[in-house]
Amino acid sequence: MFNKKISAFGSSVHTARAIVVLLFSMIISACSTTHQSSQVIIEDRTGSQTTSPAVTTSPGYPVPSSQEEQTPETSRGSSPSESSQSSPTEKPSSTGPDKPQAAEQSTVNIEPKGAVLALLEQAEDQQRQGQNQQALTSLERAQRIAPRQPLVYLQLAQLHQDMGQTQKAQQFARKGLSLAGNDTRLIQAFKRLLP
Amino acid sequence: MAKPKAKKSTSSKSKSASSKRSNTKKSTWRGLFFKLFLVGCLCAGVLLIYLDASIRQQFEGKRWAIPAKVYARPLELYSGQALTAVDLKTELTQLGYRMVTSPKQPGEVSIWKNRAVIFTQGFRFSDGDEPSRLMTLTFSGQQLASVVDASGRAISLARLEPVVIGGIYPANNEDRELVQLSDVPQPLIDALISVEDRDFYEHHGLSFKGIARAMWSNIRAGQIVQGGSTLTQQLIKNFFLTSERSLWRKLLEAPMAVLLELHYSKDEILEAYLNEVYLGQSGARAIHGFGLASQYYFGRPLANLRTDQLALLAGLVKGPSYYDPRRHPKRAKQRRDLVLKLLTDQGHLSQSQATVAMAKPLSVVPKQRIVKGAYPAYLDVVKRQLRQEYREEDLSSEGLKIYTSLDPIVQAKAETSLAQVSQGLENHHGAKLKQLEGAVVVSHSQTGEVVAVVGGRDARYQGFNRAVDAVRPIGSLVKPAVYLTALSSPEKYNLISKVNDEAVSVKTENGELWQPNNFDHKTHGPVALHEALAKSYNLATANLGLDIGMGDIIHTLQQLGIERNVPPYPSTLLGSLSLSPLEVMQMYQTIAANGFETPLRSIRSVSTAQGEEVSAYRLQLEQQFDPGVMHLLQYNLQETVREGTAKSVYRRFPESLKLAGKTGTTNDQRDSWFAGFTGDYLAVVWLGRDDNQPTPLTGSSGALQVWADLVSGLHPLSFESQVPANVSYHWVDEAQGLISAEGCEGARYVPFINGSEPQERSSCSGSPGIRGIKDWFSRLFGE
Repeated sequence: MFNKKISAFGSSVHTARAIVVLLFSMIISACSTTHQSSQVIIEDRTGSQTTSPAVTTSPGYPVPSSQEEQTPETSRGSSPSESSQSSPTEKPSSTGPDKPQAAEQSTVNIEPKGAVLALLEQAEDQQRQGQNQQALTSLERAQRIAPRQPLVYLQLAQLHQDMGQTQKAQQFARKGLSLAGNDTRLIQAFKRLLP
Repeated sequence: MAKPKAKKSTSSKSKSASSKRSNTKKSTWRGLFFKLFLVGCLCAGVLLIYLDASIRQQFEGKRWAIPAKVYARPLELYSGQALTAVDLKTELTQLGYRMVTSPKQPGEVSIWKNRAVIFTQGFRFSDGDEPSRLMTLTFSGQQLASVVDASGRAISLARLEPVVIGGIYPANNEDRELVQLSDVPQPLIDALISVEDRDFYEHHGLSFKGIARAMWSNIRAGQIVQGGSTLTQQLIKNFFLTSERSLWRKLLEAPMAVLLELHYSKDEILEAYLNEVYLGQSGARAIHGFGLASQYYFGRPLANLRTDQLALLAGLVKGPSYYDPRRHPKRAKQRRDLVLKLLTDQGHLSQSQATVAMAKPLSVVPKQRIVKGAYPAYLDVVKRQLRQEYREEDLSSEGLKIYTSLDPIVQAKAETSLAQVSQGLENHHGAKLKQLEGAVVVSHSQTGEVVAVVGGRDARYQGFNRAVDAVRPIGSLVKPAVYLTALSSPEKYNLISKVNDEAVSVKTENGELWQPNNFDHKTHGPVALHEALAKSYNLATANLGLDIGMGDIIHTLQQLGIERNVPPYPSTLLGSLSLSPLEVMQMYQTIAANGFETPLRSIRSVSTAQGEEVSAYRLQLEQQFDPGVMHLLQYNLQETVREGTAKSVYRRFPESLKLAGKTGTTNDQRDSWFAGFTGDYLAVVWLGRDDNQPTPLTGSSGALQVWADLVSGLHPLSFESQVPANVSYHWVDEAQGLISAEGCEGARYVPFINGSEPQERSSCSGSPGIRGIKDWFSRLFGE
């Protein structure tokens, strides 16, 4: 039995030395001091009085900025490429009910720029390399930055279509369509994805 | 297993020993000695096996118990982003960046007016690495104008590392951040070995030299100044720290240290030590390991620490509370300098390096800047979702990384708005308003991502989370569902259809009469549908709802995303339905996102400790309503804010900013609600008392004030909505229900689903250039 235990423990030369050291160590271990900490658990919720210097109680007067995703404003009779910054004081149309209707069909500045463009391209590369999950992540990043950019939805729809998720592809196409204004090429692209 | 067996064998041996005692006296002593020795060996052997097993179990098992770590969203940086220098500073402060004049190493930043130079720390995201780099940001107004790298090239997109907002801890509240030996800066290892265990690489678990040295210096000093424990012994001690601390344990410490050395290499032991050692206490959370301690004291990863900071951490081992650099900076500095001196004495540091290091201040970040545990309500929402999908022990031990969409900047503002405005309301109303509580939830209106959750006025309180658990009647917040149902039948209803604001009396199923009233206790006769919603007339809504039928309205509520069972009583029409603020947000999310239901998400993805993504919570859309019909409702909710019950909000916003929303007030003003959205944010605010007592607040005088205070600080984008193809705008004379023209008396510019507009024209042909009072919409929305 004794031998068995020894072998279970490991038969090395170390064993004998270990036992000797061990017996000795039991005697001296009390002499050695280690420092140890107090074991206190006191609830402390002060750890986090984060205050934001940015917050004031006075009313701010934010001015809407003019990023591409923020400007699906209507602009009368403009071409898709024309920038669509209508000023709030622009005169409303005063002619009959037909004309405003045509005018209201918005044009969208669909040319993606900067960050969004970079992400759309990155997603394209990832999709080409078969990294669909990464492509989705990139497109979602783009969607956060430009939630009104129809091309983001077009790419999301096409990616889901490629992944065999037709239902999802259609939903993204519908969303994109609702943002496509009167850009016929874009409308066509979305409609191809819809039944 | 081995223990009981062994005991048995021991006793049988001693029995046989006693039976032999009656033999000759001569052999007695020798025999006894031999037997005692045998018994001793046996005991020792048994003990060894037992200790061995428990050590191995500790070492292999507990070594890797890492709480899941929860991250905020990483702040994206790109030209054109809505971000101010002040907000950037808030974020960087939470990340522990140091403000310097000229950033030279990761984790340093200089902000001067509208220019910021940041040396980022880099982060390994599950979708790729974000390198540590130096970049310059320029702000213009409320936008980030440009992001360029050190050589002046434009960076199209970068992201900062995400703020850690909490963890999911095991029952013993131990927290740690795992480091690998290869990632640990050499000066830390040198320092540790120099001060704690100079012979670490030579001894077998115990250092007699160390003990002798310790005794000698203790005797010389007349008190205990130095410990003789090896790092291995200290590791053993830390392993068992949570269980008993008896003499027995003390006696076993040394043999266990020897056993540990037999089984594992020096590097393995050192790595375990670096991750195991106790280094501080933050409330209930015990700070273990150098990885976490680095974050806790310096707000940055271990790899980015300077030598003096590493020396401070190494010095802390001796007594984390005695040398606490926050509470006892003087002691801590002395200790740090001692460590630096030892490093120099042993040749790890040159004299000049040591002089430079000793001249450094402690540079410990203030404790309140440590964000962990700062967002209990948001974390609560995250944990509820996680617990549905993961086992508790996996959450508290597998080191999972949980990426959420919390925006610390918005969260901080939401907390401040709720606290300050509630206090202001209490001050204003005096004795009539006491114990006011509240909740705020904020999401990105177009993505469904929850960015802030405030569960009460004391945002640090870990208890009752009103954002989720205060399920209260929603009052008029339900009304958009009634009007949306009506507008979904354009052949029957348009925005100028007449509804009767006249007394209602309905016999309910239990025989009682339901007789609602308007808030002003007046009736308004036939009113236009849009006006009834904007002014929140109860009687008009009740009549309209009863015309439509409860079935269709309940269906609409479900399409809007309400999962709770909705009672088919007429009182539901006026908001007897009880929902939590988060549920209300889901409902308005669908409205803000043009009829596309987007399930609210707080978690973006979960990955393993090694960075491999295990689940992603993807953006999902489901079109529930025709965008045209939703456009009409959005018009109506903008009218509510421009002309209706919420018009006071424009005292704080420029006219050009488009907002939409709805107030809600319940019986006896027990609940004050506002749900509203801008182009980018949707926020829902509830105010009321936990004991459900009346307050002097309406939705407009209470919750709306919090909302306005919050949203004005968010630099919101205008709510720009495209006019769908099936919608057209017309000037109408709503009193007569005729097509009119701009400039005619009472003319209003109103959207219609094509074909549902009035077919007859009024006699007025209009006088272009003269504006009606209510043409804000044509200026801001229609054109």
